[in-house]
Amino acid sequence: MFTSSLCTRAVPPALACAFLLAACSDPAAVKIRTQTPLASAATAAAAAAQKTNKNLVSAVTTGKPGAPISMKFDLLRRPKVGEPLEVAVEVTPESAGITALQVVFQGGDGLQLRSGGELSATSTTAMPAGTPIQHTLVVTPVREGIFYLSAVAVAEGAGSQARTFAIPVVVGDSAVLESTKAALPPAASSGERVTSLPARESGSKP
Amino acid sequence: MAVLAWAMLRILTAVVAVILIGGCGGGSGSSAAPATSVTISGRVTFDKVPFGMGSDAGLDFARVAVAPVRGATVQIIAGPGGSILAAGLTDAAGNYSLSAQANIDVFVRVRAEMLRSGTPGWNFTVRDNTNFDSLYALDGSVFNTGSNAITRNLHAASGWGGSGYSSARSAAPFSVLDAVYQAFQLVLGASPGQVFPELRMMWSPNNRPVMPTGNAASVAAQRASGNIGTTFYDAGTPARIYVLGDAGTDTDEFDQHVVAHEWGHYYQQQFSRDDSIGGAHDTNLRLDYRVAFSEGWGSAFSAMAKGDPLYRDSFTMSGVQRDFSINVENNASLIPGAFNEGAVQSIMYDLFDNANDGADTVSLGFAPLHAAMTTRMRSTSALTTIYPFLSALRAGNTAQASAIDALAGAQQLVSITDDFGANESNNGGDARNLPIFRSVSSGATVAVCSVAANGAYNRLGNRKFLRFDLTAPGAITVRASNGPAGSDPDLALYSAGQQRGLAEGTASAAETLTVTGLAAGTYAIEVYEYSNLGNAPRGDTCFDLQVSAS
Repeated sequence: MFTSSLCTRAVPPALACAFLLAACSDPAAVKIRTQTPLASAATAAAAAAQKTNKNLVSAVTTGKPGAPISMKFDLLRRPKVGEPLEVAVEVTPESAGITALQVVFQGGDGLQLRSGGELSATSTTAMPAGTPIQHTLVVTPVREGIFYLSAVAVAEGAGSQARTFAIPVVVGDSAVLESTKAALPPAASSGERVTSLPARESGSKP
Repeated sequence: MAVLAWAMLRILTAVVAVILIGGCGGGSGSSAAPATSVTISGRVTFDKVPFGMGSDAGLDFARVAVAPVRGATVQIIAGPGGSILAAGLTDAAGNYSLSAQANIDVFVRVRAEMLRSGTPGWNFTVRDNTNFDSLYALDGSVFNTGSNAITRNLHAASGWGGSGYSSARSAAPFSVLDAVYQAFQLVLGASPGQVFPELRMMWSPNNRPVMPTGNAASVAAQRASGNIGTTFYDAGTPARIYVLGDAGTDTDEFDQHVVAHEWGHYYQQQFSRDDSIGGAHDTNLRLDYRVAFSEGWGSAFSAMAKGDPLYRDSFTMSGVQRDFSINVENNASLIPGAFNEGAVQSIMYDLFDNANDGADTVSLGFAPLHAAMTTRMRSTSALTTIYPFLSALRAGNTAQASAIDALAGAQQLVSITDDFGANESNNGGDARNLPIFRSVSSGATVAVCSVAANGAYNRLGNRKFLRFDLTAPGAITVRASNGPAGSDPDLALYSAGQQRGLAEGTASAAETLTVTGLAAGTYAIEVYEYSNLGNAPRGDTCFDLQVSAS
């Protein structure tokens, strides 16, 4: 079983599946964490990332306020151009108050969504917190590159809240990674790097 | 209002001062006074994209408003790519006026930056984390200054083409900057001499909800590619707020409450104290008290800064603009208590606002809240929960103490008597959650249970707290023992939020922490079953805990 491209290519495998659970303020930067050997948080988070399927990779942690949902993805084979790619997904309500859940998946540029583009779940009673909902979708990479499979989840319960997720899907060899690096922006006379944005101008002319 | 006007006057004064310097041939790039100068003035604006009417309408690009870029740095630059000839600031209406040499080619640059040295002082910039942290700037075209006064108005457009973005998203950094402007003006109103540590707002159209993974270097590299996970505050040096910009799923540059919420975390961390352990959070959860306070404060602060209690966060689903909202004025928390961020945000906003509703009969404004945040909250021997905040607020506003108690009571908080919530009676459904801080004397043994009924890592009951008074300088030893087979107790010791010791060994059912060289004073002890922080929590796990001084 092939685990996410990010997991195996971009980061050391031993650390690839370690996820801090979530934070609106970055947990890695919280004071008590910086003073504390990170083994606890990292190990706990690593354990958290292996809840029901050790190969499933958390797509995102929560940060800003949002729906109490976590999501994990697992690419079931190495992505290749033109070959359907199954993606296993686990969506987990983290709060006991959710009565309806809708998740819409989007392939975006470079990934054609073939099936499983939407997951809907409703319940006459609140869904049990911590119990994953399994889902499978299929995308077909249309060319080599780094693409993003995204998901937008809306949870209904005491009001409606949303959360967005995405994972990178690397199609092709690692040279793609090199080709996508940004060019150094031009420096101002002070040496400072500036990203120039165009203005619409109006007014008098000399 | 008078305070706001005063703050505006301070900015205008600064503008005039800089303009005068510019008029005298100043500016970082000038080498000699021009023989003849002309005035270049104008207004700088951006597309401010509002939310649609009604709930879940998302951003409404058909109702874009032209808003001023306030307090931003404007430069006249010898064009193209030459030296800086003059510099100044936009005023509260977005206007600027600078002088430059006549009959030369120049362009006007507006930096996504609010910068002021001295007291008060600030350094807020908007940068592209996917482009070497470069500063965003709005650039006009090159023109010749001629010999007469010139008006050059610059507008940052959204780039929206009707059904999606079709051109440069020039407005985005300036919308982020505008949210910061509103946030720091709120603080300046209460503390006119405030010096704000540098804060970098990291926005990019490439900022996606892909969570970075791995070690610190790997995470940094992934963030530099746009994989930021979500909009969040990074308490590094300098501090940063990363902001989503992925048009396909989630953009936050026009969701100014979202930006202001994160700025609220910057405020708490920089000027107060934030002991939050982070982690997943939601208004429907029973959270660790520190997390509930930090997140409730963030949302309440965003409403204060925006002058609007309706927090809205847009997203795109199947190509359709949508949003969800949180009304921080809503007092009907599902699970009220100090462990719920919804309850905290309701209390905090009601303390601030002028509208009386429910149990709210108090309208303190921001200054008393700022005073409580920057004094007792910063120094408390307890942890940063709502208790030291309300304790300080009551002490500083004795005439309002009853009204403050009424607000707290409406969210099922006990009348505040100290920083530790000593007489709290709301146990969140489990009697073992009280007292919040169990006082323990040297040599005594108490039973402590780490539970996971509300979830793991940062939920109410995962971590238990004790209070210990060290009466003379020396050492503190904390010993957890008699846990069930296979359990793994861990211990931490804090002094005013500073972690003085941590024991996270792997020995089964026992743990010992000894910290020497401690000053006399009150210490907070944290104890938890390690598995209750992770994904396979043991749940109810009890230990005997003994604390001794030597």
